[in-house]
Amino acid sequence: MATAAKKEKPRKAAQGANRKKIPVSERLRHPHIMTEMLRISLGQSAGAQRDFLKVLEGLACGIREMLDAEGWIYSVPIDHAKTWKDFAGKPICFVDGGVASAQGLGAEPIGVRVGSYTVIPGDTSEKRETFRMEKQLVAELFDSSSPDGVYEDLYEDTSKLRDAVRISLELAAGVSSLKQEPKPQFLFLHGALINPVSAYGDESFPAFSKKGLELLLPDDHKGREGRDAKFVTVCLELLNQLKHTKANIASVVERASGSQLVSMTLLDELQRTDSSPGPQAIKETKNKIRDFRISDSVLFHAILGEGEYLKPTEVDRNVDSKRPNYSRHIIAKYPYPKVTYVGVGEFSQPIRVEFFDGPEPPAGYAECIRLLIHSSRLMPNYAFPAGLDIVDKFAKVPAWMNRPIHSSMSVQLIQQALETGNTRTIDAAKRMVCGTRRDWLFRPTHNG
Amino acid sequence: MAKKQNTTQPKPSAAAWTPIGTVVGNASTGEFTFILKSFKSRVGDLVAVKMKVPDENYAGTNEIYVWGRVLGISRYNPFFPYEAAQELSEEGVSLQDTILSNSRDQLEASVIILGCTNVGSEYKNLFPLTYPVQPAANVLYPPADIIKELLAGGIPGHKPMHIGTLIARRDVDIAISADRIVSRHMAILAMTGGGKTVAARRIIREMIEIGYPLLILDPHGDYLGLWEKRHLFPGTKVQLLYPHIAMTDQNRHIIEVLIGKMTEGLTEPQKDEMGTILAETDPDEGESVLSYIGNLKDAIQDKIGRVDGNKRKTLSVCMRQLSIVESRFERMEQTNDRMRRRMKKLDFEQMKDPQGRPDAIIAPKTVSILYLGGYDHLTQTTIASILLEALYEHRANLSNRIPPFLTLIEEAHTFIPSSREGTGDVPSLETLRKLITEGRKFGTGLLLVTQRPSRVDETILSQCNSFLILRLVNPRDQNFVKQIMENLSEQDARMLPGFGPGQGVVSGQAVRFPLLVKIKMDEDLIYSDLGDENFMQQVSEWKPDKKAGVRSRAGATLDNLANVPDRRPKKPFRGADLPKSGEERWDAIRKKFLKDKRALGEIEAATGMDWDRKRRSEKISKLAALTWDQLGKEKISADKRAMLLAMLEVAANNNNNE
Repeated sequence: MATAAKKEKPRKAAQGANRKKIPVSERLRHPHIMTEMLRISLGQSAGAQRDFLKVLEGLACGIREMLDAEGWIYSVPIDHAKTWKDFAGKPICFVDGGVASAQGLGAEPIGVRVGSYTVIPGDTSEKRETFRMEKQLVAELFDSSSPDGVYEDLYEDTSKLRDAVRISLELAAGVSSLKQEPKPQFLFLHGALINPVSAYGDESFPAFSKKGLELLLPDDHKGREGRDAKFVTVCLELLNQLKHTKANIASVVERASGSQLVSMTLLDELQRTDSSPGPQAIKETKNKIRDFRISDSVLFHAILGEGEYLKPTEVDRNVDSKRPNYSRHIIAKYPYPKVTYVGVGEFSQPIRVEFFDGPEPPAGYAECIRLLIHSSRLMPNYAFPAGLDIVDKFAKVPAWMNRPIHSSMSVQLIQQALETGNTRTIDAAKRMVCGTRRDWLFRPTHNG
Repeated sequence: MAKKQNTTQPKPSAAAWTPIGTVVGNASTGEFTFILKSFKSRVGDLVAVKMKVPDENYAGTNEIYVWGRVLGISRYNPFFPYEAAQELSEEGVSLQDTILSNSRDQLEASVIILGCTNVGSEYKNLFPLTYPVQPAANVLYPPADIIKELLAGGIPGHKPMHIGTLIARRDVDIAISADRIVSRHMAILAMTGGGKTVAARRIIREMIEIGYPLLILDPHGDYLGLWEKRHLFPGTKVQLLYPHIAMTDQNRHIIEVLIGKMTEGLTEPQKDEMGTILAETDPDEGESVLSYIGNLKDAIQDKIGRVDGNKRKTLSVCMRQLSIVESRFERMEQTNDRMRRRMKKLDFEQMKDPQGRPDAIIAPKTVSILYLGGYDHLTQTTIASILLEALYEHRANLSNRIPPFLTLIEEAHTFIPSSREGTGDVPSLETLRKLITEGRKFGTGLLLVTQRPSRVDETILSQCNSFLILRLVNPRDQNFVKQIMENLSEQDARMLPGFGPGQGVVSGQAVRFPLLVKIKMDEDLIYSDLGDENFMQQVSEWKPDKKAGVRSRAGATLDNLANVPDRRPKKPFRGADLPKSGEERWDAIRKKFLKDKRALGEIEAATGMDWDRKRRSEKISKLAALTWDQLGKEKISADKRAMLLAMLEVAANNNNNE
């Protein structure tokens, strides 16, 4: 367990940081943030484009002022040697999945595999690294002719079915990895820790089949049916299993999104503090963020310096208003993730880190973030935990695996069509394979 | 496509064919790539792929083994980002201490296809592959006995010569075809220390085992150990020879050859004159060249006194060219003699006349080592040319006086230099060109050994059908080797600078396919008195010779004498004041030539001295009429005047003697 580690006390950035601070105004003019800002501002009207930088600077300076005053920005000392010495001998696990981009013709194949990479820093033995495929699934989403489908029934939005499988499998892989030797003291997942699930919660969303449940909940799949076998329930079960382990668990998102959830939540919280200039000013600030479509990643890139992170803030991903009645009471039990943004380097976008709600992880937020920052700084440009990059490459389903699946299915369809001997059926099959009439297969010939 | 063979069934191998990887990417009939299991193969290994190919009638399939050689292996860690390396270096952190991975290296091996054998038939029957290798096929690591059988297949009826083992597999011996070497020539190319002498010694030893006649041209004494270790070759005669061109009644034309090759040569009238003198001057049987040249000079001198005009000039030129040959020969004989005397343990014999006694040099079970140490390059090449030309003639005339033989030429770049070297046509170039092109017909095989292939004549080297290339670092040499060897792959060429001593690639007609080889070292053949000179040790152990004390004492005594005052006063114009002395001597000597009608060229010929080529036509009487100072005004430099004075003094002395 992580408690053996010498726990670093979180340092408040405004008080404890001894590095040279780069002012917000100057940080905004770094080329790396400029590109992201330009991307957003170019989608706006000419007037908004002109004022974008000014507004962002004002917002960043003002919010930073309040956050500093409240001590909600913490700082991690950048020191590779000390950090890796402190984490020596502690198994750290990274989990990520890869999805095959297989497309069927009249079928809904799915291929997902989730790998784990567990590493013990400082260990020089052969046991230092463990690569494992925790979960692998190659099946039909639904197959009425056999019990091999993942779901008991088909749903019109198959992309949702696929997403639900991927989300569940990654969580199941996380649970599975914590049971393996060496037992990880830290577990980092790629992507959101708690996803919005309301979209998958209506009654018509099919339940997992027996096969799907066996894969996702190997110890607790028997007797599950109906609502208990549906995604929202299974996913909640997996989250609870993860939450109640003794490992330090967090997930990391590196891609910038348009979400403003953290900044809005943070401003709501700031409004209740003495640093707030008043509800009107906060409201105005929120309006500006919305009007100028300033995302969390852009705002916190402007606010956070190297090694700094926000106080983890609880956000609600599954707001009550969107919960379907059928699974409202289940979704209500979903944890609220505690989300923070972490500045890895001066010139890289911050990463989003999510923890479970409730008490801090055993090692504390600061230790988890220190580990994540130093893991990310091993790739200074990409600024993403190197362990997640490794497991991402490990689990990725390469293109050479995808192509033959598609080819084999196309061949099967054409063969079946040819066996009918019906030219209209054959033509239809060709169209299905090619997807367009403008293909060489349909080129007119001399006899028409 | 492999032909169906109904040969005897191979013996089942005791060891298993271990799968070591999987074919990936685009495979062809010439090469393929496979992903290799860690630590299961290395560059140079022979590997196999079992697969099916269409049979001859396209009615079914045959199962075959496709054989290939691992040309290169690239290794990369897909989980180790480049930028992490920079960060680790900057921070001084070890990868092991972080979360980065270093255990999942991927090995991608490229293989050149050598051919295929039918499953179930003998492995020595290798056929070209005409159907591409199957993607995703298992790549197998064959047991040693199977590889041995594959390599031993060789060429039916040919005598195999064991030269070493595969680099990657010490349990697999490699043999090359002796027949191909003696008839189609071979070149051993390697930088100094690359192991070329070791390789050559290996081939020599195998040739001795066969009893094949060998001639070794050894400029550095690398092969003298063979004589010292001759007890290792019972029944074989090993003889150490030093160059001696003995004159006979039939070979007097050698003098013309020597003049032609060692000097600027003679014009047609001069050649005629030289021919006449040679015809008139019979050599004693076995007389040395030097002695014969002396006799020829006497004959010319005698003639010069009796003729004048152009004939006199022609004879003078002949005299001068003979003097040049004489001086060179004298020098080289002295040096060679000194070097031979240093090697007291070795028993050198004078080389017999290759024209008259070729069988004394070339005979079955005979190794003749011609030690050329101490001779300058031109002389070495002249001797080689005369010797090989004579031996070749014996073979080409089908006189049956000598059997076919193999000549090993160490330092081949000296004997067959490239035209780029600017050395002009050395005497041996044409001879060796003839030997290498006609050798197959007459059994005059060559084994060329050099450390600078790019300095060797490209046309001659490319006539070698087999190559053993050991370590080569010089980029020019590497490029040159790539040009002349069509079947040297790019990957093999890249390996050349990285080979260790005795490691190399053997290719050409002497082997079935190019192989990476580790040459077997014949340590018992190394000559104990040679090897690298340890000058440091020599200096630390150096003691002056016995007469050093005498020299020192005598020198000190004589130095003391300088302090004793002269009993007689010194003459004012003696001593170091040379111009005055020269003037006095000139005044004395010139009077003797005032009426001499000879041209200066004739004086040169009479004295054997060179003065001034441009003034050879001038009469001596013209210069004799001038004073010492006037000579200076004629733009004759002080050095030239001193030389002229010396020449006239010699000429006057000769006249007095006559």
